[in-house]
Amino acid sequence: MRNIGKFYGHVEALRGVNLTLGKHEVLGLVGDNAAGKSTLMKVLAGVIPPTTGEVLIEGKDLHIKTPLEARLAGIETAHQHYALCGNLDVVANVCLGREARRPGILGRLGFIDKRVMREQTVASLHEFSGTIGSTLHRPTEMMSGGQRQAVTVVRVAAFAAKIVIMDEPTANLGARNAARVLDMIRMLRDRGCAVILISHRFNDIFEVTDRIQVLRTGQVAGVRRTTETSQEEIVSLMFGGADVSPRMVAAAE
Amino acid sequence: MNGATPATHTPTDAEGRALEFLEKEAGPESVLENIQLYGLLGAILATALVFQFLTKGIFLTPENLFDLGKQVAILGVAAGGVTCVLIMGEFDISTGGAVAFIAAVLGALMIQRVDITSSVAATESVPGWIALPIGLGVALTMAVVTGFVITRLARQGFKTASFIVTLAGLIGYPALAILVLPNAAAPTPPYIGALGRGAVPGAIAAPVIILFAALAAFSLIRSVRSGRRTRGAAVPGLIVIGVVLFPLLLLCTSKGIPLMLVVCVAAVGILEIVTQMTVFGRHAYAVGGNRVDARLAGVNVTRTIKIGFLIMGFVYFLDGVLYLARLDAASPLIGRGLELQSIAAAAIGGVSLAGGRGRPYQALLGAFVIVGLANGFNLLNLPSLWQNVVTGIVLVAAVWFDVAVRNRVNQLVVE
Repeated sequence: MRNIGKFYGHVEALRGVNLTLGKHEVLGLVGDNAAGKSTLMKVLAGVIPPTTGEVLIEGKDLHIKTPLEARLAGIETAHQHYALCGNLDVVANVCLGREARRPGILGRLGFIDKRVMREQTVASLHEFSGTIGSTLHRPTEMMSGGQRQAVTVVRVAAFAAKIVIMDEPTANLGARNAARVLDMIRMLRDRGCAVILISHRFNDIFEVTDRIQVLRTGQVAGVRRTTETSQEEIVSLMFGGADVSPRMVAAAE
Repeated sequence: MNGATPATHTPTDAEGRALEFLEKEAGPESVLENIQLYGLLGAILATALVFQFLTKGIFLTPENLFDLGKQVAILGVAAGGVTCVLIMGEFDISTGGAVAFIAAVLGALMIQRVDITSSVAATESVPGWIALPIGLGVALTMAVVTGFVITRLARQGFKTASFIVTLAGLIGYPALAILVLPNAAAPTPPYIGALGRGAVPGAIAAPVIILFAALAAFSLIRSVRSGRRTRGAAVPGLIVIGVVLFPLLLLCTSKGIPLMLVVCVAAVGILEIVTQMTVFGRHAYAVGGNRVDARLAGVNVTRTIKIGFLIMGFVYFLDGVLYLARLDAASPLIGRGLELQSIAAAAIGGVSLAGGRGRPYQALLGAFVIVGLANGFNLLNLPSLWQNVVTGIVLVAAVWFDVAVRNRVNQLVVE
C-alpha cells in the first residue's frame, strides 16, 4: 500500500500511509482507538475507496473498488464484530460469496453444490484444529459470541489467499480458542500467506508477528521488527509521548 | 474458484467422533422449525374442520375444493413471488396493481370482437401467441425498471426504497389499467377460459400425486437414516404430505385437479428451486440477514435485489393470465388488495417481514389459510367484511406465535 490517504469530508482519517507486506510474514498493526487501523484495512479489503494512494499486489495496481474484487485478488478479511449472516448456517456463512457450483450446465445456471461446500467447511474446521461446539446446520445467530468469531476465522482460512486480514480476531475468545487462532495465523503464514493482525492484546502481537507497524492519528508512527522491540517502545509510539508511564503500558494490554 | 481446494482429510478417530457430533446433534432450531410448521398445519386443519362442521359438510366437497384451488392459485403465485423479495428484507406492494395492468394489457390485445350482424364466431384482434409474449415483455420491463430505481435509490442511502417505489406502483398501475382497458369486462379468447375451467382428470393426476407423495416421504425417511435430519424434524414433513394428499385425492375422485392450481404449484416449485438451490437464493437470504456482511463477503447486493424484482415480473404476468382465466374475461378492476394479501399469506406461513427467513412453499400454505377463511365465510353467507376482520386477527396471531416461539428458542440456546 503506497501513500494511502483518506478524507471523510474535512476529517483526515489517513495521511500518506505506506504499508508493505511479504509472503510468509505476519504484520501486527497497532494503534490507539481512531488511529486509522480499521480504516486502512477497509481500504485494503475494498470496503472503502482511498482518497489518495494505491494498493499494489505483486507490483500491480489492482484498482480494487469492491469487497468482491478484493477477494478475487486474494485478500480475505475477518472483520471486527463477527460480521456474519445470523440467519444462515455455518456452511453458508463460511462459503458466502464463494459458493461452490455444481459441475456442468447446472453450475452455469447458478446451482450450488451443497456437498462440496460442506466438505470445504469441514476441511477448514480441521485446520482450525477442532470443533466450533455446534452443528454445521445451526443458524449462527443461535450460537455464542466465541463460536461466531470462530466461524469468521474459519471463513478466511477456508480459501487460500495471498493476504489475510484479521481485525481483532481474538477479542471475544477464551484463552484456548485464542491460542487456536494464533496457531492458525502461523499455519497461514507457513502456507505462504501474508497476514495482517490487528489486536489490542499485546501478548498476541508479540507472540505471533514478525513486524509491528504503529499508527497514530492516521499516520505511520513507526515500524519495528518484533524481535528488536519492546512493549514499552511500541506503546510510546502509539501515544507519541517520550515518557510512558507503566500504567499506560498496562492500559494498552 | 480462486485458490486451492482444501485437501481431503482423513479424520482420525477422535476427529471422526467430533464430526459425528457436529453432524447429528439436533439443535433447538429444528424444534423451532417444527413448532412453526405444526402451528401452520394446525391453522389449516382447524379452518378446514370448523368450516366443514359449520357448513354441514359443504366445505370439503370436490366442488368447493375445486373453486378453492382456483382461488389459492392466484394468491399462491403472488405470495410465493413476494416471498423472494421479503427474504431480502425488501417489499413489493405493487403486486395487485401490476397484475391488473398486465391483465388489462392482455385483455386489450386479445379482446373478442363479436359481430352481431354476421354469423361468424368471435375473432380476436391479436392472436395469443403474439399477445402473451408482449404481456410478459411488459411485465418484465416493469420489474426491471422497478429493480433499477430501487437499487439506485438504495445506493444513495435511501432506506425504504422498495416500499416507496412499489407504493408508486400501487397508486399508478391500477389507473394505468383502466386507461389501457376502459371496458369493465371484455371477453377473452376461449383458450383462456379453458385454463380457468380446465382440470387434470383424476385418473392421470392421482397416480402422479401419489408418486410424488411417496417420493417425498421416501427422501424424508432416507435423510433421517443417513443422519442429515433428526427423526423429529421429519415428522412434520410427513404430516404435511398427508394433509396435502387428502384434499387432492378427494378432488381426483370427481372433477380432477384445477389446471390453475397445477400452474401455481409448478410456479412455487420453481421458486423453491431458485431460492434453495442457487447462488441467487443464498445471496438473497444473506442480503436479508445481514446486508453489510453480505457485501463485505463479496455478495453483489444490487444485482441480487434486481433479480428478486425480476422474479416479480414473472409473477405479474402469470397472475395476470390466471386472473383472466378465472374470470373468463378481462377487467381492469381485478387484483385489488392482492399485494397486501400476498404479504399476509407469506407472514402467516412464517416468512419474516424483516428479511432472511421463510420459503415460498410456506407462503403457499399461508395462502391456503387466507383463501380457506374467505371461502368458508362465503359458504356461510356471512358478510365479507367479517372475513377481513378474521383474516387480520389470524395474521397478528400467526406473527405473534412466530415471535414468541423464536424468543423462547433463542433463550434456550443462549442458556
